[in-house]
Amino acid sequence: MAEPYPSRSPVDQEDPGYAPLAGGEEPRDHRRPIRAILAVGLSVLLVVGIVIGFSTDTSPDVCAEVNSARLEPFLLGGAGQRSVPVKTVVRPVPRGVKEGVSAKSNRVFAGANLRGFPWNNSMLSWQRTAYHFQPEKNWMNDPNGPMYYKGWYHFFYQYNPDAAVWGNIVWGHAVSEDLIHWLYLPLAMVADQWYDINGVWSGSATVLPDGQVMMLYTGSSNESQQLQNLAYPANLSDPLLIDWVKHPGNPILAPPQCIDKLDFRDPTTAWYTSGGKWRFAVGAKINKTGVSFVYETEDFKSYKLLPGLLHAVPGTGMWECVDFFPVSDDGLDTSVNGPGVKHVMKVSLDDDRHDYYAIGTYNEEANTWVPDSPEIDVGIGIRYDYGIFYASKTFYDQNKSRRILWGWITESDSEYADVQKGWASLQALPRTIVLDTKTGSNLLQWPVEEVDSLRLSSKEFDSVEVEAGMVVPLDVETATQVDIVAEFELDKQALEAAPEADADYVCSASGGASQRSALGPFGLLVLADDDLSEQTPVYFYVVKGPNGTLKTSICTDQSRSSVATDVHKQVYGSFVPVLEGEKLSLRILVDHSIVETFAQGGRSCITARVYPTKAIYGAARVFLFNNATEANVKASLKIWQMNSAFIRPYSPQ
Amino acid sequence: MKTPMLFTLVSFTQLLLITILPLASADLIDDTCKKMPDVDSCIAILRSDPRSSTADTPTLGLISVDTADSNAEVTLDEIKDLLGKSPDSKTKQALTSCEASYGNIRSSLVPPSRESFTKGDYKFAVQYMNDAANTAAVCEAGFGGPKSPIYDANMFERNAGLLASAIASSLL
Repeated sequence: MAEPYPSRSPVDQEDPGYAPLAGGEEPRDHRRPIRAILAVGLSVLLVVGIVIGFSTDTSPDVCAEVNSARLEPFLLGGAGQRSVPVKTVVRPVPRGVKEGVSAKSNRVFAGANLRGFPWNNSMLSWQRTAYHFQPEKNWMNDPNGPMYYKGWYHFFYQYNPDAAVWGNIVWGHAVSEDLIHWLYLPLAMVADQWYDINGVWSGSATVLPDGQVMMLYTGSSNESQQLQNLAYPANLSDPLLIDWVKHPGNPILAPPQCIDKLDFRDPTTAWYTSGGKWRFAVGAKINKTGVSFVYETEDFKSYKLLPGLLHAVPGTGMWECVDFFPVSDDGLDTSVNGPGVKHVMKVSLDDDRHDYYAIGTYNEEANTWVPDSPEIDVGIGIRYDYGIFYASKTFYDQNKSRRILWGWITESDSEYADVQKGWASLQALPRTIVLDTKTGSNLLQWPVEEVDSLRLSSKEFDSVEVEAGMVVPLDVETATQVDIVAEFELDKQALEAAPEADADYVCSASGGASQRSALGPFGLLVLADDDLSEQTPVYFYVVKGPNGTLKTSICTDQSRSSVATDVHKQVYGSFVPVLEGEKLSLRILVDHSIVETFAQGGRSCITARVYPTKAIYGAARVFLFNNATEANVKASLKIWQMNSAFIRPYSPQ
Repeated sequence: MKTPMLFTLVSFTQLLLITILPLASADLIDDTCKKMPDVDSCIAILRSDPRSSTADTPTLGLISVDTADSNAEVTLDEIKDLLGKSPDSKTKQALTSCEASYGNIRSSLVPPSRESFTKGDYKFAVQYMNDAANTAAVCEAGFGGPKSPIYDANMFERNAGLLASAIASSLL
């Protein structure tokens, strides 16, 4: 704030005998002190008014801890403790993109070819899935409070009871004994208190050792302030946990003074410290720096904001749905810690609607987390999934000692079609999460083993030779609900002879499955009709780098997935690490309008929503394809028909 | 004490405040609009609403959503009128389709966008208002020719939707 007038030195003001000012002003009469006092008072008021006027809509009042010298480098992007320039963002940049093939925009429509597609009920009702979680109708978003309790897996979700678009959010609830066969229960929480009347937003469950369940969640209040609240089961001896009580002392937390009232949400599951206290994290932002705070409590009713930040990354924007958990080659309870234990920090970035994670180390005493590799810090490095996958959340399943990940899969068609069909959004299949001990630098995700119980009849195809440029139909019946496990081998001669590529391959900037090179693309065409007028390629693309090293990408190409123009047409995907001696492996789960792909045992995952108009019902097929120019490919695969999960309302036996 | 200097200070700051305070909000409209793809359309849309002179950025977003909504309402009336004049079958088909689309803007895209701006979860307004703009563009394209009978309405809806979406984006 600049003063509009040069300030006078104290000496001048204190010395009434000073010479008169230039301009011939008379010295003020000493016998009128009241006017002087009034003048001083008024000018002070006016200056204060200016300060207030200029301080609106600029940076919020920064909390004392946040403004400390230790944290400034984080927030202002200075050199601080980092060895790399903080503004570096390690995201694939389209380089060497062929002329005429531009980076695809995220806009659904582009150019003059705009037409809404005349969807009919047959096409729309086919889109509903058979074995993915979705409510009977209307809109769903974030997974909430997943947990295992007294023989049941519980799943809650953000839900709009009134429409197939976001709004009026309350908590839906479902239970299952096996994470697959879900039974709908009544709504767990509705917007009935002043502190959540404008939305019962996301939250997490903490199951205490004595069997109590603490559900922390965000409420949007009657003044649209985001507040943290506590709820717990009304009756712990009801294994279905149908009724929930909101803590009479709610809200338990308002935003800290340096945080905007609209940037404070999604509390995590709590972890128990060696000091005998519980801690949980919540995400926020300060200017464009995504941050996470930690609160500490003994009874889940009163909390202390710990000084400093758990972590912050400049330029990443608002951190939604923060998740924070220990990881190893096995599942770990959220409270596990100790030397050698790695912790995952995960954030949902509001700015690009993607979920990012990073692996690092948690210092419990300092309450800070540091990434193993700052250049792929959380928010600027690895994503859980390179397609549609957001607001994800893990929980520790003490039934089978594993950590399980849920993720919200939104639609990529038009809202008009969603309203027509009466519903919007799915959940991904629950996935186990472990540390990839072979690479040490990423996680592995894999559909929970209970998914295998849906497998019905299967067909096996062994060592199928697919020459360059060929498409091979696979004779399974209809391929609308299938589980495909496949392995590919590129012929060694072509690998050796292939020239070095002049640029990295980036799925989203590429021409998809029709852009050919010596060693790719090759893979499967799913949700394809007999004449391939609609097809969704899921493929590997291999390029040779310097010193003969091979770099592999896994992509899902939506560009020809539907003749409809009002659906997303991008190519999704990423680089996937392939280690010496490994074959290229894929698992693809097709369930009507969702295709979930897992490459190299779950090192890279891609979830896509696909809306064919012709490759539906009995007309949906699957093919092997090899669009490389030089290399032949040998493929071995097994394809299972998948049963429905018969997700339905709970009814007592 | 140099009270003449203080009086000069007082009057100067009074004058300064009188000129600066209204400019503070006008600056917000200018600041917001100069980041928008269509600056003139942004200024025209925002300034035509009396709330904008004292609005914060989320309220400017709400104003854009309200503009998209009231234009959609007016457009639906225009479409009804045109349908009542027995148009040729291709025009009739396009008008009927637009009627459904504009109805959808009002019932399904405007309410969550309003909620998104008031409650601070801006990403929904980014998407839904972008789709409102696309809906208007699709409606226009459905007539086939260079300019449909509701061209002005469609262009205005498209601009209001894009503006609301861009304002929400800037708040993320």
